[in-house]
Amino acid sequence: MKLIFTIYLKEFLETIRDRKTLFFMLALPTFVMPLIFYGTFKFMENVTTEERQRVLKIALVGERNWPKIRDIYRDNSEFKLIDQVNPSAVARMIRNGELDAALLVPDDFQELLDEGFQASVDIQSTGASSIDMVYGRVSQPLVEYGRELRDQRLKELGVSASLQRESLLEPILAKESRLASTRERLGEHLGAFLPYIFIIFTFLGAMYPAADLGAGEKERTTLETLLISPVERWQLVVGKYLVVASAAVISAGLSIVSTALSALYMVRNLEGREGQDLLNFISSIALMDFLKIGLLILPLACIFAALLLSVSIYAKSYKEAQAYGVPISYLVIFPVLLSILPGVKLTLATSMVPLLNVSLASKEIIKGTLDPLHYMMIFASTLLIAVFGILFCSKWFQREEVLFRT
Amino acid sequence: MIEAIGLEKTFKVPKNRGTKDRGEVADPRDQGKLFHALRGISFKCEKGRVLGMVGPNGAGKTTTLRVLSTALKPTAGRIMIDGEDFSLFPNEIRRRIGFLSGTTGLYPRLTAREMVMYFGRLHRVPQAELVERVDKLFDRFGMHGYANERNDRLSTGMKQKVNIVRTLIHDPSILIFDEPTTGLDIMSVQVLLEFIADSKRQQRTVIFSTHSLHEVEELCDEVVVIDQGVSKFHGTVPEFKRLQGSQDLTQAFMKAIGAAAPLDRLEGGAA
Repeated sequence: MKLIFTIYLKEFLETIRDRKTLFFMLALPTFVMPLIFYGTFKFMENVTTEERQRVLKIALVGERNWPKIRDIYRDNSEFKLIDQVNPSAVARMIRNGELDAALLVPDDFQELLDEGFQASVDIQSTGASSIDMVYGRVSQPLVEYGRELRDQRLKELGVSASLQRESLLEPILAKESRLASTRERLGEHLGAFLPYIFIIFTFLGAMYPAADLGAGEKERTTLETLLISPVERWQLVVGKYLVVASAAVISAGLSIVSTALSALYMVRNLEGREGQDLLNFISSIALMDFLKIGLLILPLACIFAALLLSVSIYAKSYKEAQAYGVPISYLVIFPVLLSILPGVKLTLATSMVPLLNVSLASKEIIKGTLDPLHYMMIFASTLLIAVFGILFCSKWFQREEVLFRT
Repeated sequence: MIEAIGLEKTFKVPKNRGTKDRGEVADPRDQGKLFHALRGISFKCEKGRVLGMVGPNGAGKTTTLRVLSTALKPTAGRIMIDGEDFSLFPNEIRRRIGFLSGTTGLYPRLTAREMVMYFGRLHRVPQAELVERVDKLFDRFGMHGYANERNDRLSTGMKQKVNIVRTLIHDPSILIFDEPTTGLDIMSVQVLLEFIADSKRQQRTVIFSTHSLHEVEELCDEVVVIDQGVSKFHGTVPEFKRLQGSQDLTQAFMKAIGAAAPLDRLEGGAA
């Protein structure tokens, strides 16, 4: 045990002195999520504010068909009216950015209004941007004027009380009543995201130390010296394996903490009901839930450590070990991506699929709906694979054709 | 004392690696899927003596030394130390030997002291004794000035000294060197050769493989000639010269491995 600890300490010391490993183990999981969250949030906030505040250039085409339309927009500081626009040039001007929108009033507009029918104004804009507020902003004054007109018409019909008005406009109301809690609802959507993050970071955290501790040892020609020390080969493997697993756990832990803190920061800055719902959702995830997820990461980190260390010790160089890491990362990402797909649920069958089970279980933990039996099964099966992994790695490390592969 | 008795080592040949069917000169060790790298190597080196191992490239010198140092398991044969068979107890052999090759690297991100301490701990040297030994060895090789420098910042000569101290940290009675002077500058070679001579004076058993017959003449009490996985000669340098009928060690060596002398080969080529 003392020898394994000696090997562990030395390998850990070397690992944390390697800038590349340190970056992937500490910096990336700590800063990448806050950067993504903060960056996206700030970007969206800026774009939205800009879109909301800029003065929109609009043209009133067919104004003579309903002169009132000028009164609606004339004194509104949100809009700048562009006059004398040729109807045939409207589309081109919108595409060129000379206009943000054009309101097209049809010939029979006034006639329809006067006769008490519904009349419509066609609002043209590009509508290409995902953050497009043009239609909403341009239609708003028109909708408000429409409401005034509606209330006036109802009044003329003798409908004045608001309750009476509602029953006339919407005699039957379909009310949605969801039994799922906010946590379940949001957990279903957001719960898949967290395992995706921490599984990737568990893998990334293990990848570089594994390449360094196996193939790196060959490349630096220190392996032979180590092999002829009076230490059993399995002790060498366990010492190295524990360092790789530790790096994976540290990386995963940091990614979870930084994701949670970033999400909390973002949600606190959100306004309205959505923000409150998200805040309630995050607050409802207890420390115990994070510990449950953390407990699943331990055997997962051990599986990655065994797999990557075995590959690394087979590789002739650090570069070759890294090259093998790429296809393995696809194998890791694929089952995790599966868990994000709608309809993929935690069942007896899926609880037996490595990685997919951990990913689905984490989602269930976040939703607060995980069956303890499923949890035990997933933990046991992942642990079993991890044990086989370390046994395989240990045997693999004894093979001369692997150690001295040229 | 260390003795190799009938050491054999066979490797499985990876696909498309055999020399057969490729029009190359046939090697009797190449048996298709198997390669018999060592085919019965025997020699002995007594305490306080230096044994030089010579042979052409690919003869089996490194494999022999790797088997002796337990990095590789022999397919057959025995390794005796001080008259006891330790073939089945590699850790017992490891405690008694120090191994250094010309290509042995250092952990770049450890300091010289951390590296030596690490190997001392792996050899289970008690902590107090380890600290004392490190200080003494650093004194002896004048290494205190860079004891706490990272290995990747050291010069080749400094690195060589760190490696020598790493080899000696558990006070081994047998030292094995595999082409230790390869790639070193003149100063570093001198440090190493002095170290080998000093080890002999300290009554250690020294085995080293080399391509430099000058080093063999200067340092070795005995020589073992290895060619195509067999030991063709084992005895003293004068005995070897006498047997080959040449006072020149290079000529004697060429005769022993059945190769024409370089000049003869040139003339043969011209004809």
